[in-house]
Amino acid sequence: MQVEAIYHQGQIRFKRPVRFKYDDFSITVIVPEEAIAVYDEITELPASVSDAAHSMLDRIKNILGEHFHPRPEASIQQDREALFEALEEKYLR
Amino acid sequence: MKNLVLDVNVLLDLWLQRVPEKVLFFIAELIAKGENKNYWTWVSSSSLSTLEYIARRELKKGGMEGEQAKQATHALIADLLANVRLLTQFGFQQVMALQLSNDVEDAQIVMAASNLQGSTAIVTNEKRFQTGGEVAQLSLLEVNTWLRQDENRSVEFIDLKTQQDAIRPQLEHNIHRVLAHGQYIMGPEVQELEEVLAGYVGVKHCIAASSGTDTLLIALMALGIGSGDEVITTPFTFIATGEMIALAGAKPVFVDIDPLTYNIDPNLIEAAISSRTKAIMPVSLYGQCADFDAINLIAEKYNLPVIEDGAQSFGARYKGRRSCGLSTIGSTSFFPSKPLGCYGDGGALFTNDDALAKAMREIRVHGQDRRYHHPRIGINGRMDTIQAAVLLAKMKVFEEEVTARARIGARYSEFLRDVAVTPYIAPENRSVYAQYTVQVENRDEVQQRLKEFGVPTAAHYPVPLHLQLAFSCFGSSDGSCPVSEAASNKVMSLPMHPFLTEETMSTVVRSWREAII
Repeated sequence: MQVEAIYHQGQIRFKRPVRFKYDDFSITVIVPEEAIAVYDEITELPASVSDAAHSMLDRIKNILGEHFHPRPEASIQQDREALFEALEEKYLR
Repeated sequence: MKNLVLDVNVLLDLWLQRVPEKVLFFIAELIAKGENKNYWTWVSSSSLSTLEYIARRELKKGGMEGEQAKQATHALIADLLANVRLLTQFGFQQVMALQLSNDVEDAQIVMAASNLQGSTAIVTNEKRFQTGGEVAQLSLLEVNTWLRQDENRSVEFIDLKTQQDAIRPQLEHNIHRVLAHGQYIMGPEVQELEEVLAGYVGVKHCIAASSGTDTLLIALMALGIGSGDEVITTPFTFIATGEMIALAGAKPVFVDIDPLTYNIDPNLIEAAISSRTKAIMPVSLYGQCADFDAINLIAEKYNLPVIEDGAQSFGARYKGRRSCGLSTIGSTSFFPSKPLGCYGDGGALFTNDDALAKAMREIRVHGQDRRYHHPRIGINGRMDTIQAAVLLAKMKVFEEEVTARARIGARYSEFLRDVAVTPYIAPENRSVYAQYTVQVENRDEVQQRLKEFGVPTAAHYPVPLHLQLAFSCFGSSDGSCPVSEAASNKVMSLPMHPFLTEETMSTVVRSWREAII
């Protein structure tokens, strides 16, 4: 069935009450294209980045050296997996 | 001030360069310390181990050797901690954290963020937090808009909440140090505070005590003032000034005030001196020092000590010298609403006189010079160590706050000059604006209207001491201090604290203009 819902601050609320048989199951949500934010929309950066911010990035570069390079975007799930792997390495191996 | 709590994924994006360069700069800008920011940036202490594990793992995946990855991650975290504030995880909140969410770490972040007093948002790539609406959650794209929105907070007469967020890490550190060592009265922090305060005021001795009322009594007792004596003071002050003179057994002799500064008028003091006069006790009202050169000159002439009641003026300057260091004894209060306030009652005495300092130290502890030996009568006037711990945290930002108070006071006067009798600050003074006090004819009505507009006000003070019933036994009568009497009918204090924004000041001023019509 299709149910109209409202998205607000990370939560989706159905516009009419629906009772479910199960606690967990997957659903498909249609998100309007115009509501999806992309990083290109950060247009409000200050005209010049502050010295403090520059210096912070320089320090990170210094710490990581050649390992400070662009990487693909990561989802929360990917970060979780990396965390589980690290925990596994520490406690299970 | 608003608070941004950065989620782990935002920090990882920065360190691992997982976002376009301009976004990297945006995140760095949020973290980097800077002036004129209207927010503080925090990281929950519960996020640190997650950050460490994931960053190390990802660096190793990218080919960095294990030990190098460990050290690099530690260096990244150390650099982060040097720039952001760390949110504490309290043990007592963990059961609630478990109940709040299936994800304990997320709940811990929410709980820690909820401890902050100002508007707070978690900045995250995934709005997964169950915040109950108390704490907002924002994507990076939403941060600027959220920061621009008004906080929608009511106008505070004194804003201790923002100050608490400003000093929270130091405050927690200091308070927990006291909890750990357990010396709850006159512990090591009290002595540390006395050294810091004496250095700040520029005198040899500081004696921290239980309140700014007890300090007055201790000073009077140390000077041997008692039954049959008279002490000259102002009637335009809080009750404690005259009350402690009476409690010491002496008679307060009230001398009228200067109509511009509201402080005791030095020109009237000499006429009030009698053979029974044993001291002069001026009050540096509203944060502005009395005219101490003139007062000290008269005191010298009659060989009288001068006790400055600087309950409202700690941090103020008179001819470049600091309040409480301008006379025989200086006394101040650390009542929470004072420019330097603790989280309860507290006060301090200041002097360059070794003998007086010794006497005041003894009187503070039941007249004791060593344990259970009491050469004189004293009081229970010791300071709680936790109050000293709070004050030590506040002293780290106090001078900045004094500067902010002076700026805000001057700005208020610019706004109000044409519609109110604004405070007069003598050229030799730097006021700390403990109160920003104006005069208005129909005070009760204006106060009521301002209250309806949501602007809190207070009258400091509606009845001068010589007309208080408690002092009727000393024979003062209506009309004996006309300037004080006139002022007491008109003065009104407006919201004043070092975190007052231009927007809030505008609200107060706009409300004022409407209220006086």
